[in-house]
Amino acid sequence: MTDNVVIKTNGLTKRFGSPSKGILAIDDLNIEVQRGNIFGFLGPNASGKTTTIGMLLGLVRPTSGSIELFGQDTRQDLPSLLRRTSAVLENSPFYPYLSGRDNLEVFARTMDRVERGRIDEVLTIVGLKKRSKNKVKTYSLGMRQRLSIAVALLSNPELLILDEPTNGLDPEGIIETRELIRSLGKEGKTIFLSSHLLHEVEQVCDHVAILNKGKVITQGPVKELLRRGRMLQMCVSDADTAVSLLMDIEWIKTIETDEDKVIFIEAPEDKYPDINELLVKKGIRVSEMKTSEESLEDFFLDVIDEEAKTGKAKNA
Amino acid sequence: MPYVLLLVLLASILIPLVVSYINYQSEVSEYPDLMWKETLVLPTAMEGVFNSVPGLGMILVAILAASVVGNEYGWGTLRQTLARGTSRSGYLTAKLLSITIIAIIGVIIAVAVGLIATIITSMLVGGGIEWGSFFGYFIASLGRTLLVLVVFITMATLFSVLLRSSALGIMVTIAWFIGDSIIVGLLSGSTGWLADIPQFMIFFNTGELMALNSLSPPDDVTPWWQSVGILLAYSTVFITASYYRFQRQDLTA
Repeated sequence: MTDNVVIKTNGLTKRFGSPSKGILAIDDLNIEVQRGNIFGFLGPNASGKTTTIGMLLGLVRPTSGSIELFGQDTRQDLPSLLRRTSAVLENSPFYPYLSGRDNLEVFARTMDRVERGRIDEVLTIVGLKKRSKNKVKTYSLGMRQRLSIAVALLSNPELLILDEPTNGLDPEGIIETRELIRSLGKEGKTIFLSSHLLHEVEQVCDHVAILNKGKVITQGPVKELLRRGRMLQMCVSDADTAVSLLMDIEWIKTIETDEDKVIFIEAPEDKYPDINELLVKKGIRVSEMKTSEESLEDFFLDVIDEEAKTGKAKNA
Repeated sequence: MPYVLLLVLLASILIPLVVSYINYQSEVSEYPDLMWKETLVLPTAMEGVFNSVPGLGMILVAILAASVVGNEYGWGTLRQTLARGTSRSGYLTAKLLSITIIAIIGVIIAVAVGLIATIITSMLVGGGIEWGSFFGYFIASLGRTLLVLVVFITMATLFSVLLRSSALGIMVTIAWFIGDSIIVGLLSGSTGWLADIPQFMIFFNTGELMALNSLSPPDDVTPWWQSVGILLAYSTVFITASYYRFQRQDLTA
């Protein structure tokens, strides 16, 4: 079982600064990434995505909690675990006075098992072979990003952690990167992808976790999360009674509630008024009722918005 | 960058020799026993070399060390390297070793160039070279010079790690150097316990060690083992603090 879980965090927390006044960047993060999955990690700016990636890679020390990579605690032998991992980091860091090829050679020397010819191979994959001998300081942002991807592919890792891998790429580059991620997924690699481009995440990821202000507010298979969006959502005065009333109705396929007692009903759309009528007749007040065909972007915005409202209500 | 620093060091050795020789040539017919002929003839001419190398060398190695360590923060390549599984202690050790090796090679080249130049000036000025115990003096002076530079390498490394910047690492190291020299100067004329403070400071002890690079050092110079001990203690503290901080540092984007 543990062999199938490539990334696991348990109560992962990070506070920058003093324990009392510091910034709580990550709060009790619990995620699991299964082997072979393409896992999307989404969130608005300053939600903690890059901090989480920093902790996974040992660049940022957690305040509390633990991280397991490949079933092993990273506090035991992080360097050996990281050798099975590769990452595309934010801001594409390179030695500006060296050429693209020389940068790859420098980083290749810090890795195990980089085969001969692999540098040429990855330069071809990312489309930088012709410019490989030019200094990185002459590269555009998109070229630096491609070089980042090339570095990540050098050692043929089991786990790829990608922090905004399409940042700075033109549309063609974004499509190429998407195809590359898909092909790597098909090869059996596990990919942890942090991105703002929800459309891209929707197209390549199997699972997503949505982060806001350091907390995971929802996670699950992409299809299942989006399925909620195509369901009838209702906020009622007594969710438990409403669910027990609706459960036995044969034309209702599924009915579930989330932690906030919002009811999600999968049923034919022409039956929605009947549901409303039934509940009202039984004395249950319906405060909200909606249905939508949601994309991941719509779902993401709804979730963030809902979380903001809940947060304001708690603070009021 | 190491080449540039080496060129600056070589210039600081050769330019005074050239100037001395030109001045000597213009004055020797009138004043045949000029004292500063000693600056051109071995072995006394090497005193000038062993004063120039550590004097300017302290600043140059600080620039080297701060750049080698600090630039990696600015470029982000530190994160890139550590994310590949390189251990932090191994990384910092590699950095310190490479800086030290470059500094040793640079000093040896500078001193060798100085030796060759002074052999040439000795021959040009005329008179025999008194080798005597020159070899022992040469090796001891080289050792003292390298020790002095190690202190500044470790200091600049620590400040670059703490401040995550090569520019700040250089600035704070130079500020320490200047501040140290000012405090030593102020307290040197003091009495009581105040007068004891300078002997524990870097500037004082590097000065005392460099005084021993003279072929006729003053009688009241601090024992070499005391200065060496204090400088090694400072270096140890700087290195230990560097490792401690580096291991615990959050390397955010």
